[in-house]
Amino acid sequence: MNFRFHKLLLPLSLILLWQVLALYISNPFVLPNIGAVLSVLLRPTADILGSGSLIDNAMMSLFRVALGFLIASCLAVPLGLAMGHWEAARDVAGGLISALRPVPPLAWVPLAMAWLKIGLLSILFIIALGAFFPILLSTAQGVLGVKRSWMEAVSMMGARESDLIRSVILPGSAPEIWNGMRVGFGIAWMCVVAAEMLPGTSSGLGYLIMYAYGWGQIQVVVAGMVAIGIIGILIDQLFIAVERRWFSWRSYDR
Amino acid sequence: MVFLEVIRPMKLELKGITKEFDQGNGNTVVTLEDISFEINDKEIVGILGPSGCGKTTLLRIIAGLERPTKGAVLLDGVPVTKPGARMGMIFQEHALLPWRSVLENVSLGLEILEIPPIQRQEKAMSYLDLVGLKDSSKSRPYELSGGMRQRAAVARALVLEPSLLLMDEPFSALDPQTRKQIQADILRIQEKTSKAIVLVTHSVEEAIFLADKLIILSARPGKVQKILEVKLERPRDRMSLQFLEMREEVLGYLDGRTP
Repeated sequence: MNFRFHKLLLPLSLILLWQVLALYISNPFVLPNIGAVLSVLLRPTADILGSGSLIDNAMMSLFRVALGFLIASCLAVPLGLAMGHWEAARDVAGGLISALRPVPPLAWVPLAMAWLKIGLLSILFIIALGAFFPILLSTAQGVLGVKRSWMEAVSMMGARESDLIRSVILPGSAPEIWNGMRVGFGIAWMCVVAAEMLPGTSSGLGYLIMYAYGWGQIQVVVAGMVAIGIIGILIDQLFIAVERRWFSWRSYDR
Repeated sequence: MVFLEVIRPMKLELKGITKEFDQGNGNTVVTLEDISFEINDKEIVGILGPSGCGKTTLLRIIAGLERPTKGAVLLDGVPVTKPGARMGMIFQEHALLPWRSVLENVSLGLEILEIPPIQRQEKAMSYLDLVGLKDSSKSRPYELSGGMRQRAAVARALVLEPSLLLMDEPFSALDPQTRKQIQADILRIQEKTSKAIVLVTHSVEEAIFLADKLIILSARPGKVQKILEVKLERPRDRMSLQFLEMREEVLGYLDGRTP
C-alpha cells in the first residue's frame, strides 16, 4: 500500500493540540473536547435538540446545493459556450460579467430576500450565483482552447456549424467545463451553509450550526463543521474521479 | 432499368490566386501573386518553395479554409468557397481528436453524413486496414507513434472518398525511416484509390519521389516560378542518376541559381 504517513502528520497534531487545549481550558462553551464532538458525529441519525438529525440536515443542504448548482450549470454552460464561440457574445457580456463577478454571493442576500422572500428560492439564488461564474468563465475558456486544427479537420468533412458544436467544441471543452463545475460546486457548498444561517431557515447544516450555537451546544457546532468538510471532500473526490475516467486525454494533448 | 454512371474525371483549376494580408498598420503584404495551374485526375502534384513563400496558405486556399484576395479555385468548374468533403486534408500535425479512439476519429465523417453505425464501422475499419492500423483501432491518438497518427489521419481523409487529397507537410515531423515507409505507403494507397494528391513539402527528395508534377514557387511574394513534369519511372530510386539530376535542377530553381 502506498500509504503516506506524513500527510496525516499535521491534521493529527492539530487534533492532539485541540484536545490538549480543550482539557486545559475545560470550558465546553469555548472549546468542546473531541469525545463530545465524536459522540455527535458517530450518531448521525439521532435527533439534535428537536431540529432533526445530522443526516437529515445534511441531506437538506445537499438537496438545496444540488438544485442551485443545477440551475447555475443550465445557465452558465450555454452562455459560456456562446461567449467562447462568438466574439460578439464576449464583447456584449464580458463587461457586465467582470463587474458582477467580484461581488460575493452573500452580498446579494438582502436583494435576494426582497425579491424572492425568505425561503428556498432566495437560498437557491445565492447558491446558483456562487456556482455560476466559475462555470461560465471556465466554459468560455474551454471553448477558446479548442484547437483550430480540430475545427478545420472536421470542417473538411463537410461539417455544419451544429456538427462542429456537437463533435468538436463540446467534447473539446468538456474537461474545462467539468473543472469549472468542480470549482463552482465547492463555492455553492460554502454558499448553502452560509445562506442557511440566515433568519427564516429551519433546516440544513448551516441552520443546525446556528441553532446549536444558540443553545450553547458547541460540540454540535464543531460536529456540523466537520460534516460540512467531509461532505465537501467526498464530492470533490467524485468530481476528480469522473475527470480521471473521462477527461484523461486532456493531459496528453493540448 | 439501365444505370448510366458517368464518372467524370476530377479537375482542379487555380486561376490567378492572389493573397494579401493586412498587417494592421495600413500596409498590406502580398504573400501569393497570380498563381495559376491545374491538377488533373489521379495526378500527384508537389508544391515546393522556400520557407515563407506561402505554400501552406496556397493549400489552405485550395481547401477552402481561406479565401483568396483575388482569383478563384475551381473544382470541376465549381468555385470552392468553403471546406467540404470533396477534398480530404492531412495536416502537418495530425489534428486527430484526442477524446476519440482511432476508429471513432476515422468514422466521424461518416457520422456527420448520418450513416448507420454498423456500416460506418465497417467502412472505417476497411480504411484503417488499408493504412495498416487495423490493430490499433481502439487506441487513442496519443497512444500512437507519430507515423501511426499520420496514417490514421490519412484513413480519416480517405473514408469520405474525396476526389482530391491535400497534404500539408504531413511527414515533416517523422524520422527518416518512418518517413520513407509512409511515402511508399502513400504511393500504394494512391494506386489503389486513384486519388489526385496535392502535397506541400519542403523536401525536394520527397517531392520528386512522389509527384508527377512539381510546382516551384518563388520567395515573397510567392509566384509560380517553374512547373516541372517528373517523368522518372516508378518505383523511383532515390540514388539513381536521373533522380539526382532532377534534384539538382529543382534545387537550382529553389536557391536562385536558375532564374
